[in-house]
Amino acid sequence: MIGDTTSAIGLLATILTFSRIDLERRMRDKDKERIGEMIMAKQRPLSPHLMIYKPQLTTIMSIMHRMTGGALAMGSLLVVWWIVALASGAEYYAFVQTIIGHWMGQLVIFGFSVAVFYHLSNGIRHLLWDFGYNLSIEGVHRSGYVVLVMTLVLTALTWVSVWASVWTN
Amino acid sequence: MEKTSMRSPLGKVRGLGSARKGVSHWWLQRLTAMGLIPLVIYMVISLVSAMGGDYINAVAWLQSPINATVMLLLLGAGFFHATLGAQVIIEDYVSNENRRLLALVAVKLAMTGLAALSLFSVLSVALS
Repeated sequence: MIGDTTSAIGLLATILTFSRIDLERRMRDKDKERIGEMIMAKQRPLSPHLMIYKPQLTTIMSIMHRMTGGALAMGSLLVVWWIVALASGAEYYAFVQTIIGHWMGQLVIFGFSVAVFYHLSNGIRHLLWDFGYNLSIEGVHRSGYVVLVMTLVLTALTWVSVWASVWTN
Repeated sequence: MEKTSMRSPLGKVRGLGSARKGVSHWWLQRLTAMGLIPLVIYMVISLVSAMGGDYINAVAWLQSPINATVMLLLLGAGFFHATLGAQVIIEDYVSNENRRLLALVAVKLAMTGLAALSLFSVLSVALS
């Protein structure tokens, strides 16, 4: 009898606990919705938010680092495609070469090269930060401009060399 | 850090965290990044100077031991680095836990598949 009572109480406690978790979850979802509506209606002041944040060299370059990283991960599909084409034989490789040679293919590769050089230069900037260099505001801005100039220089150098190389080969 | 300690801040936090892997993601991302610097620079120079050839030239280019080795290392370190980066992006932007896990598994499987496909292709050309 006592055993029955305790297990009944146990069962009741379990049901109560689970319904409470469910209730809390539903309340959380409702809260999220309400907060979303409040943000949309701008009913309360928010901590610095993308919409009201003035674009700065630091923030834009940080976002660009992530965007070029994502673009390179996507672009790796093209690199894999080229290597697989090379392993698939002369006929398929020739087909891929005509696509690469088309101006749209060239444009994609140009974009890929810009992403490579930006992510490479800014990646070195990140590693220098990890070693403790350029951590002042001036250092962050100075190295930021160096990265932008390096991206332009490396991209220009590469494509001038490509034209020279195609000319001679 | 105490003044007398010889341990670096990194040395102190290594092996910490709930899975005893506190800084392994951070560290591997930096390690692959440092490896990728010379690999990318070599690959760009080598590719640009070989530009403009046909299939025979391209196969000969990849059969050179140095080009093939750099290509293998570049793809290996590159896909590893990309997977670590993609993981951070997913963890930042996918708030739903189920969808986050799904996205992480999908990206890791896809990256592993692409790495295997490209590494195998390089080897099959280089060793043919």
